Amino acid sequence: MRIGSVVLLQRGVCVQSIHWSLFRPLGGLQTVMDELEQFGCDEVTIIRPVRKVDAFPDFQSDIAVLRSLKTMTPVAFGGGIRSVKHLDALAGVPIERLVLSSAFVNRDERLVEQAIRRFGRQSIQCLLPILRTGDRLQLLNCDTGGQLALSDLDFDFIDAFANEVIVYDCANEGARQRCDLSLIDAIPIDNARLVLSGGVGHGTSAQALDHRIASILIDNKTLHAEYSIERYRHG
Amino acid sequence: MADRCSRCLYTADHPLGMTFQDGVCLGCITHEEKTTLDWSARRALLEETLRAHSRNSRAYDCVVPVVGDAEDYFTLETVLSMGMSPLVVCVNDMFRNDIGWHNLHNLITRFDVDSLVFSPDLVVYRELVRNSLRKFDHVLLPFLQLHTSFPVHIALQRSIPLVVWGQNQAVEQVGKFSCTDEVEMSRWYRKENDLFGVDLKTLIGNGAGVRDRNLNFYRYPEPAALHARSVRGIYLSNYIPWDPLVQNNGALRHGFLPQRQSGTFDPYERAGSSVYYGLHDLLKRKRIGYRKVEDHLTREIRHGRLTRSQAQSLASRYSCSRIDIRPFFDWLGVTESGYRWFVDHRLAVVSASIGDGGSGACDTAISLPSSVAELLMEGAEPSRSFIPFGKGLRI
Repeated sequence: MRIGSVVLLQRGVCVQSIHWSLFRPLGGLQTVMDELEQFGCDEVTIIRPVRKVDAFPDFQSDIAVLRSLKTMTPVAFGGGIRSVKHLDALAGVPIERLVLSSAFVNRDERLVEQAIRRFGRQSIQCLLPILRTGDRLQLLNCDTGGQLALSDLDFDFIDAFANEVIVYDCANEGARQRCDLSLIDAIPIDNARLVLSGGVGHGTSAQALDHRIASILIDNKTLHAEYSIERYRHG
Repeated sequence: MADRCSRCLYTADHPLGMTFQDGVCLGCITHEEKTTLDWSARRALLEETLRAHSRNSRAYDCVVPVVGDAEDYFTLETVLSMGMSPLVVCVNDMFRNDIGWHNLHNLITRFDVDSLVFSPDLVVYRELVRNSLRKFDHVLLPFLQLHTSFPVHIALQRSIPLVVWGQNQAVEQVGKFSCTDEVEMSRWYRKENDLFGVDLKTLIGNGAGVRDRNLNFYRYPEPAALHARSVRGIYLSNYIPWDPLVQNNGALRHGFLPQRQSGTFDPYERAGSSVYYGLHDLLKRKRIGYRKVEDHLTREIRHGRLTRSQAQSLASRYSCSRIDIRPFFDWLGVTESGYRWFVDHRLAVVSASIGDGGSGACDTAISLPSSVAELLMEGAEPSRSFIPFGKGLRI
């Protein structure tokens, strides 16, 4: 199982997101990446936390930061990729995986196909921001800012086009040891293709390993202590 | 998106980074934790952490880095009250005045603790300060490099498992983290928050006349080595509802000497420094657009002792104070013509704030609301500045 980290990039600098609504400043992307590399992080998923409105120049300026990044750690990138123009802007950017959310939620077949054509199917990850309210599981649509029932999602489409699915626990994002592992039960896709994030704690890694999950992505907490990833690895 | 907090004086340009929610900065939002968190539970957590690192068989349980500031009195008093055996470690920044040396040595003798004061090679240090001023408009970066690494080296070398810092300024000023995140000391934290992104390599760059072998303690220890020895660093402000003005006022009963400042009402923070409210404050104005007093005013707004409009009015009053920067350039060994050149070319945008050796205070007295004034004490005037080595006490 891979142990990675989620890093949020907003207007060229890193932020931490708490419960999908509160953003705290974090710092420069290169400094963050340097430390994660030192910690032995297996992968870093860099997400632009777009909520509804997103201007293309903002996307371009974040891409410029990404393009200048120097790192040996595999990088996945997503957030605000809404058209082929966005995909074209990513040409030559050193990323291993492409993370799409709204494209899968909105079943934008053309955009997903174009992404596969440019990056290969093996690199496509589908991010599902899930909010549990009582017994109901809602999916947050980053494009519209709205919600829909998770059960309304076309999982056949996701299964066909995404190599991995990132199950993102929005309610517990930024919290300590709170990740709701039961969310994966609602995803009809082989656990070996699932990545878990949102409130991942030290104990989550052992549980995720038991469930044969492909990877866990630690949100926010990775930089809160020296060599933090070791604690997750041996959690 | 907001670029100015509707509650305090901070803007989006804060050097530690800033985000806003509904027009309110994260510093103010995080400050609300001071009234919502269960602080007795957090204090119990601190006691548990300290107890876990307390070993009667070992000479020292923790390292407490100090500069002789009022905050250090609170930190040390807290650590001792929890039964710890600390080693107090101080880096000499060469900028202390007689008040600064008094406060440092009074701290050590009053609390009767073992201490280590490290004085860096003055030639190397001065060259780094010169370089820091030339490249970054900052004179304290070399000190900050040492202050945030030397105590960690000592902890590593002597296998002392814990370093106890006072305030986590990234939490207190901009709400970068919640106290419940319990963020610890790390190389990343140091670079991003203590050094404002300027590590040693960036500080030196090319052209500095210093040799690599002279920079050992300016470098942070390898994180792998710290990890192997299980050396951690914690911040007390994650466990105690931090209120600097109240805490610093408490240092008076231990013999701490406050210093009168023309640029701020706070006589406690960094009392005893010859540069902090001098050239450093002027350069802060140049780099980020405001002076230290705005940090103090924002802090008091958040603690409810000032309204925003009172703080704005006080900020404008204190902004008229003037700073005598010539003594710093004498310390640096700069000629009169060099000094003139620097003022004309590099400090032109803040030249109105440069004074000529007088008190620097504004013409009219500034009155403070009683909520703040009752926590202040008349500060002393230093009789000597820029004392590289000093004894602050007669024994």
